[in-house]
Amino acid sequence: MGMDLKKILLVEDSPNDAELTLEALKTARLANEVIWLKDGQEALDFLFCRDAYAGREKVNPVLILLDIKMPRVDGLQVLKQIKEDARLRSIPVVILTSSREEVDLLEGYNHGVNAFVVKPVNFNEFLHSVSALGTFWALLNEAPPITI
Amino acid sequence: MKIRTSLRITSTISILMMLGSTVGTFFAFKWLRQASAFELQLIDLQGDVFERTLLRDEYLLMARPQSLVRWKQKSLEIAGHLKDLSGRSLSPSSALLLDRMNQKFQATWALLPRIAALRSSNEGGESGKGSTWRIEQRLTNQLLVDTYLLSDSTKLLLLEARRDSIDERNNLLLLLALSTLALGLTVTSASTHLNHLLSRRVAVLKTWTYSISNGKLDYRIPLGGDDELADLAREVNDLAEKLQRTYESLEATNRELEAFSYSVSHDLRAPLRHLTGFVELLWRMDLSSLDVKSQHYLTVISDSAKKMGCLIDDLLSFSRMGRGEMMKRNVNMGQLVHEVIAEHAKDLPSGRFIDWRIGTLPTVVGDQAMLRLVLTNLVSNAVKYSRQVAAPIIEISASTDETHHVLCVRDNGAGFDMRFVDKLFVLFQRLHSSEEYEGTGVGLANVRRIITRHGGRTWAEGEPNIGATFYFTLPQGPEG
Amino acid sequence: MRSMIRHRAVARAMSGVLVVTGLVWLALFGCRNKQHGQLPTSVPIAIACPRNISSSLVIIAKEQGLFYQDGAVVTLIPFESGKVSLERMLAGEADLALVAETPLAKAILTGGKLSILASIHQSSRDVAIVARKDRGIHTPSDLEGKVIGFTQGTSGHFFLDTFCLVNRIGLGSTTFVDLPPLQLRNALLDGKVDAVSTWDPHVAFLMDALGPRSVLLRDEFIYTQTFCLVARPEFIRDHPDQVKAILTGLLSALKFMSGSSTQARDLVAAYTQVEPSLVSKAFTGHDFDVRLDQSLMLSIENECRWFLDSGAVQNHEIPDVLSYFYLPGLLEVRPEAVQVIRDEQGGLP
Repeated sequence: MGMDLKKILLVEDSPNDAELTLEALKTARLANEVIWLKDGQEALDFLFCRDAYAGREKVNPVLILLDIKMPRVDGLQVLKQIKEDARLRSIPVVILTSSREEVDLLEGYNHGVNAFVVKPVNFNEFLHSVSALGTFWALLNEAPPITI
Repeated sequence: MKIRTSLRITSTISILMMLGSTVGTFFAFKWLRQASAFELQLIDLQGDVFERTLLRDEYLLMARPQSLVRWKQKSLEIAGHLKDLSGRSLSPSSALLLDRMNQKFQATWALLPRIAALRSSNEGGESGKGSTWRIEQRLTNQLLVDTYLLSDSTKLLLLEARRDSIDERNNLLLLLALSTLALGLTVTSASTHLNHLLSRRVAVLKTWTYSISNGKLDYRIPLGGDDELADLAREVNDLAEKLQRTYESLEATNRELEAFSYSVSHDLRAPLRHLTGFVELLWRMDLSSLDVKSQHYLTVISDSAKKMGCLIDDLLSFSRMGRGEMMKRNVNMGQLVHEVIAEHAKDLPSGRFIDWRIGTLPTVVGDQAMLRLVLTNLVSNAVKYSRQVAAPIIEISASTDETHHVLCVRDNGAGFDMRFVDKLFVLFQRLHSSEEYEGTGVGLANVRRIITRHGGRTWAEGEPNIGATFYFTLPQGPEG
Repeated sequence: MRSMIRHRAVARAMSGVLVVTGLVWLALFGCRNKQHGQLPTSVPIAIACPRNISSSLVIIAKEQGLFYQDGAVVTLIPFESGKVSLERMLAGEADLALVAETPLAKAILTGGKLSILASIHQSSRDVAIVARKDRGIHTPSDLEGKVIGFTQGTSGHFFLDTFCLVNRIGLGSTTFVDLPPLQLRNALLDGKVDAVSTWDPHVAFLMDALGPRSVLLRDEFIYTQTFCLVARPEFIRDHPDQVKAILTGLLSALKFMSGSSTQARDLVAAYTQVEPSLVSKAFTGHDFDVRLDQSLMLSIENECRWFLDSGAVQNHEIPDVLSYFYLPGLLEVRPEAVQVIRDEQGGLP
């Protein structure tokens, strides 16, 4: 029921990384539509229905996959703003990033990130991670009620 | 003024005072001896005068010629004494007394023989109360008067000599007392002053040391004075300044390193992931059309990428080992070893039996996680390099030297050539190829880093195909 | 730094306290001293003082104001001889007198009311005979048959008697003329007498005046003159403190004599009315000292005996001479100078 409405937002600046992630998601048979945005500012505009995205569909994504290292507005900034907003706060955010620097970990959890996943270099491992993520978030986890 | 200068002044003054008092004492003693000698001379003289008076009486009463002879002898003795005394330097009053004594001695010396002469002239014949007798009477009276004057003067002179003796003695005592007092005062005041100075200044230095050792590097000693301690204070302040700057630059370097590592984490990793990812995707495609060589090339690219990933991960972990905060507490090495071995046992292929010989291991002070890593690395190395051995024995034991615990991990595996022992603990240096034994060469480098941070040493011994022993030390702390 | 300043301040404070304490103590002590010496009124004291060299200590003490230190106001009444001085004192014209032991012995023998405070001068050279060479006197024996002047009852008299006795000069053939001391001088100068027995300053004066015409006949071994300071017993009874003051003054005069001999000489010359150079000559070989010793007592007793034997004094006994010595004064001022033989109470042992 309405599975097509469940969109996943992927915020990732590197096209390569994005392609890999999308391939992984496909391989894991997550059928959700994935919206890919290339930088933090765009992501915020989208989520807050601003500027170019003022007239977007009024359905929020059910999962946000967030990279940290992005130009202009980085992932932590985006996270902060999401979690500070009453309407967006409930959307699960998973940070999907290259390294597990302690400072990033700390910042992420302080701002209320739901999960922190480090992208392994080994692609097979990455596939496993993504599959697990998908299984968890799409199937196991009770999604919050769909909000506008 | 410099402490050295004031000490020198004090010791100079002390030496001068000592010299002065020594010289003074010498002279005072000399004068005392002179006065005493004078006194003794006068006592002698007084005795002689008394004896001479007795001899005079003997003659006058008994009229024995021998008495007169002895009286004359005694008189000569007295004359000698008087001559000796005249040679001395005397006070005016003493000189007057001596003068009187001389005069009266001369008088008595003249009178008794005169009286004797009159007596002998009287001997022949009766004169009774004639003129000779009257002359004798008159002269005898005069003799008595003069004798009294002589002996009274002698007594007075002796009294003066006694007084002088006592004065000299008192002077000597006073001199000694004053010298002692002065010397004592000098020494006391100097040492009190010094004590004051030192205790105050030393306290300041202590405060500084305490502040610096507790990380307050911007504490500067308030300066004062121009003595050695003030100089020291200035030096110390310079030192603190340098320390602070070094510390600050070290902190800056550290921050740079952190930034560097951070950068490595993110920026190096990303292309690497792309590399492995796309290669993998490529593999999942239909590669039947590719020839063997192309497939081979692809394999190499893939493996290299994987390898690079491992290297980067190891590098980052190595860097973290150097930077992370150490949480020091008591770590029971024995317990830790058993935990590490248990973990390893899970990863061992079944059927592999290792003879673990664990000795009594101490409890040390250190970071538990880091020490766990050390043991993990050493144990996994021991296991890895014993793979070819039929009956592997891994020994873990501990001993102590004066200041440290010495722990060692020994295996009877592949061992190594001692010629290359220096490369063992260096990052990414290996003594075996990856085909023989896998690994990046970061394990032992991490071990060395951690142990060094704990204040210990690492070293190893080995023989090819016999085995290898890895040692590390940890400082003995209050826990024993 | 601060504690160093404190240290110095403390030291300064302490020395300040010490100085103040010292000053206060001195002030109190000084005041006390003055208080002690303060006398209600000044006491006039008259000393009959002959114009002899022997009087030097008294002359100096008076002229140098050494008597004034305790409120005493001393006047000296000059006389020609000690004998006359003593007579005047006994007559009540003076409180004290200076006299040789010869007139003193006579007074004691005849029951005069006096106390001997101290002897101030002693000499065996003070009394001598000055003779005229041009009268043919060269040696002592030449005096035989000559005219010799003397003053009755003085040390000059006793000396002459002893001199003649010892030198066996026949008293029968020689003429003796009794004259007061100044008249003796003139008599010798005028040639009215051939020789005189006198004392200093007259001896020095005559030797100087006659020059080569004079000959000095002296014998140091046959006679010792002791010049004494005597006082009326009432004076001692009424002013015992003054006695001590006078004796102290004399001791100060003694110090002055040894310290400033030229000044001393001039003072004495002025009082004795002779040239200072003659005083210097006379000063040599004299014994100036303040004491009371056994020789004095012996001399007095000897000369009492002489007075009785010569018939000058009759129907008297030699008294207890010691009882004429006033010992407490000198004992307090200078105890070691009291060498008279006595028992604890001061009487004869």
